[in-house]
Amino acid sequence: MESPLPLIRIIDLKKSYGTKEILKGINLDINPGQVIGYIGPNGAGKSTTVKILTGLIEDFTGKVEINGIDIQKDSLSIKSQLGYVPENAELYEVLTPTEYLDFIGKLYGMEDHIIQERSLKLLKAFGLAANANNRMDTFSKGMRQKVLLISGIIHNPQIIILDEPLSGLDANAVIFVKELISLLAKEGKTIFYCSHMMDVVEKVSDRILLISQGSIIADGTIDQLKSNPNESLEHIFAKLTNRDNDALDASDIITAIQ
Amino acid sequence: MERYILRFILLFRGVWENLGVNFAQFKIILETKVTLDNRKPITFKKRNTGKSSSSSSIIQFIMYMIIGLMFMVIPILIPDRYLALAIMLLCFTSMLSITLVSDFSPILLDTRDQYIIIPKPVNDRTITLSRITFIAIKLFNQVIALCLPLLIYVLFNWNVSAIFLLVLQLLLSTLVALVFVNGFYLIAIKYLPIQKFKDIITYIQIGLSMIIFLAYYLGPNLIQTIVESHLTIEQLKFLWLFPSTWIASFQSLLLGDHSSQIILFSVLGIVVPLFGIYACTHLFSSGFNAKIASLASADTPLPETAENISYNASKRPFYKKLATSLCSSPLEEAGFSIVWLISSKTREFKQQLYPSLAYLPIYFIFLFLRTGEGLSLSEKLKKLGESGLYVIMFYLSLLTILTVFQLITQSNKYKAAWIYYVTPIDRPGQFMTGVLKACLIKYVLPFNILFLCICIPLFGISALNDLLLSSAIGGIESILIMLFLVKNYPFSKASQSNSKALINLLILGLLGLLGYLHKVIFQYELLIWGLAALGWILFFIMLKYLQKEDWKSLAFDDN
Repeated sequence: MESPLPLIRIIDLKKSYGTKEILKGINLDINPGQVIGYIGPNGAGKSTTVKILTGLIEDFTGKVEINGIDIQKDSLSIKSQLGYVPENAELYEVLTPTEYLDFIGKLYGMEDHIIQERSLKLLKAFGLAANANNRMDTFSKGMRQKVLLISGIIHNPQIIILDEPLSGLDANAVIFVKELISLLAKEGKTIFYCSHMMDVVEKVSDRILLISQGSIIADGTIDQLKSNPNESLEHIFAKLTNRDNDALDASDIITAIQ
Repeated sequence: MERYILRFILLFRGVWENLGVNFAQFKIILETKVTLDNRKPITFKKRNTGKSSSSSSIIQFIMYMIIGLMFMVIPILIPDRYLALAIMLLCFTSMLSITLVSDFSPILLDTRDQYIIIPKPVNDRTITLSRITFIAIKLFNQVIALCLPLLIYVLFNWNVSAIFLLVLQLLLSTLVALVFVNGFYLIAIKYLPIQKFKDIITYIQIGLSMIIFLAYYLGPNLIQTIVESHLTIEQLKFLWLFPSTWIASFQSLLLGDHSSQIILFSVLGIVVPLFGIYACTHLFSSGFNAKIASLASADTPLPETAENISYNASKRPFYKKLATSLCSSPLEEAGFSIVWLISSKTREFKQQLYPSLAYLPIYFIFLFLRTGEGLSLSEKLKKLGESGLYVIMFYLSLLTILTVFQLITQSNKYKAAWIYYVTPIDRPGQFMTGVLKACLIKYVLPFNILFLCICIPLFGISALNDLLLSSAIGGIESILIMLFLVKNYPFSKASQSNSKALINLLILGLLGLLGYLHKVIFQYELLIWGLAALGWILFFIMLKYLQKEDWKSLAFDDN
C-alpha cells in the first residue's frame, strides 16, 4: 500500500551564509498530526530551518514542499496554512492584545467578526481577558508570549511552528501549553516544536529530530533514540552532540571564584 | 565637562564621608553614570538607531552653549538692561525647566538602579546622594553651558558689581526652575498614573523642540519689534507676572532706580525662589523620594489575572470605523490600522513628527508678519487674499507628507515586523494603500480642514478651489513618495540607512514651483477648478496603480 503524502517534505535543503554552510543537505518527511521535537545545540541550524519553513528565508537550495506545494513557487498559500510563534517575543508592544490580534487576523485575510470572536475566546482561554485592552508594553514576558501563541493559532493553521514557546511562561502556563500542544495534535495539527527544554520536548513530541552542525544526526521516537530505558533525552543530546569533548567545565568556574 | 565637575565634587571626600556615604561606592556609581550618560545617543535619529555615542556630553554642552549664545544676543540688542535681562532670564528659566523635566525624568525614573545597585550592599544614603549628585552634575553642566557666552560678554561690558549681581540672578533663576520642576513632579505624582506621567514628559519634550523652533523663527522678529518700537517693561505688563522680571529688577536697583515697583520686585525676586525651595524641601517633600521610587518600580508588568471580564467587542473604535469605510479589503484595513495605532501610541514617532509639524503655524505667523509690513490687520488680510499668498501655506503643509513617510517605516520595535513575512500578504500594494490612506487622513486632512475653516471666512469661497487643487497635488505627491521613497513596511526598520537629502530637496523644489505656478494662475478661477478636477482624477487612477504594485522592495532582511 502506498504511504500517504507527507505534509512537509524537505529534500536536500542547504543554506550558506558566505562561505559558512549552515544547513548541509537536510532530508525530512513529516506526516500530518505529528508533534516534531526539533532540537540541537546553538548554531546547529534550527532557526535557519524554521526561517525557511516560515518563508522568512527564500534564498536556499534544495526543495521544501508543504501539502505538495513548493515553498519557493507559492509561498503565500503555504504561509496561510502555517502558524508561527518565534523565539523572541517581538511584537508591537504599544498596541493592546485586541488591536494586535485584529492586525494579525487581517493580514491573514480574516473577516472582522471572526477575528473578534476568536480573539475574545482565545484571550479568555489564555487568561488574558482582563488585560485585553491594556497596552502590551505593560505586560510580563510570559503574557507577551501568550499573545504570540494566540497570534500563531488565531487563523486555525494546519501546521504550527513553535520556536521556544515556553520562554518566560510560569509553571502553570507551561502545563497549559503542553496540554494545548497535545490537543492540537489530536485535532490533526502538525506541530514543529523547537526547544532547549529537553524534558518538555521528551514529553510532548512523538518524533524527535536532532540537528547538529547543519545535519540531522538523529531521527525517531524517544524510545527509538534511547540506548537503555533509563536514559533521558538530555543524555542522548549530550552524547550525540559530543558534549564531553568540547563542553564547558563547571569545575573551572568554581575554581575561578574561589 | 561633566567629568570635570565630577572630579571637583570628588575632591571633598571628607564631606561626603561625614554625610554617611561610602566614598568608594559613591565614586564608582557616579563615574559609571557619567560614562553611561556620555555614551547615550544624543539625537532623535541616533536614539532610533540605538547606536551609542562616545562624546554625547560634549556635543550636548556645545548645543546648550549655542542656545546660550542666543541668550547673549538679547542684552546686546535690547539697550534697556532691565527689559533685556527680564526676557533673557525668562528664556533661561523656561529652557532650564523644560529640560529639567524632559532630561532628568529618565534619571529619576531609571529602573536600572532597582536591579543593579539596590541588590548590592550599598547603603541608602550612598544611593540617594549619588542620584541627587548626578542630577546636580548634569544641572550645573547645563547652567554653565547656557550662561558662559553671556558671562563672557558682560565681563567685557559691565562693571564688576553688575557681573556679581548677574551671577546671583542666574543662581536665583536656576532655583526658580528647580522649584517649578519640583512642583510639577509633586502634582504629577499625586494626580497622574505612571503611563500618563510618562506621556506628559513626552509632550514636554515635544513642546521643548517646538519652543526652540518657534524661538529660532520668531525671536529675532520680536526683538526687532521691541528695539524699533522702543518698548519698555512698563508697556509689556504681562512680563510683570514672571519671577524672571522680579529677579531682573536687581540690576535696575544697582543702576539707581529706587522706585517702589523695583523695590517690590527685588524683594519678590529674592523671597519667592528661597521660599519656594524651603516649601519644596520642608513642606511638600515628605514621601517625595518614596513616591519617586514607587514611580521607578511602576514599570513592573501588570498582574496577570484570570478574571473573565470581557471587553466590549461590539463597540468599534473610531479608527476601525474609518478603516472599514475607507478600505476595500482586510489587508488594506490592516495597513490602515497599524499606522493609525502605532503612530498614535509611539512616543519616539510623536517626538520626531510633531515638532516638524510645528513649523506650519509658525510659518503662517511669519508669513502674516512679513506681508505688508506697517499695514493694519484688515489691510494685511486683504493683501493676503488678493495676492493669493495664502496659497503658499497650502503647499507648505504638503511638506508634512515627506516627513511622515520618512518616519513611517522606522521604529525602535522594528524587529516586530517579522510578522509581515510569515503572513500571506498576497497584494502588498493593498496593504500599502491602507498605510497611505491612514497617513493622509491623519496628517494631511486636519490641515486642510483647518485651512478651510480659516480661509473661507477670511478670503471667501474662492479659496475652496485653491485648496482642492493643492490637496490633489498633495495626494499625487504622497503616492509618488510612496512609490519611489518608501521601501519598507511600516515600522519595520531601525532608521534611515541612506540619506535621501537630494530627493527631498527635489521634492521641496517641485512643491515650491507648483506653489508658485498656482499663485501665478491664482486669478483664473475656472482654470483652477479644472486643474483641481484633473488632479483628483489623476490621484484616484494612481491610487489604483499603487494597489497593484508588487512592492518587491519589501523583502525580509535576514539579519
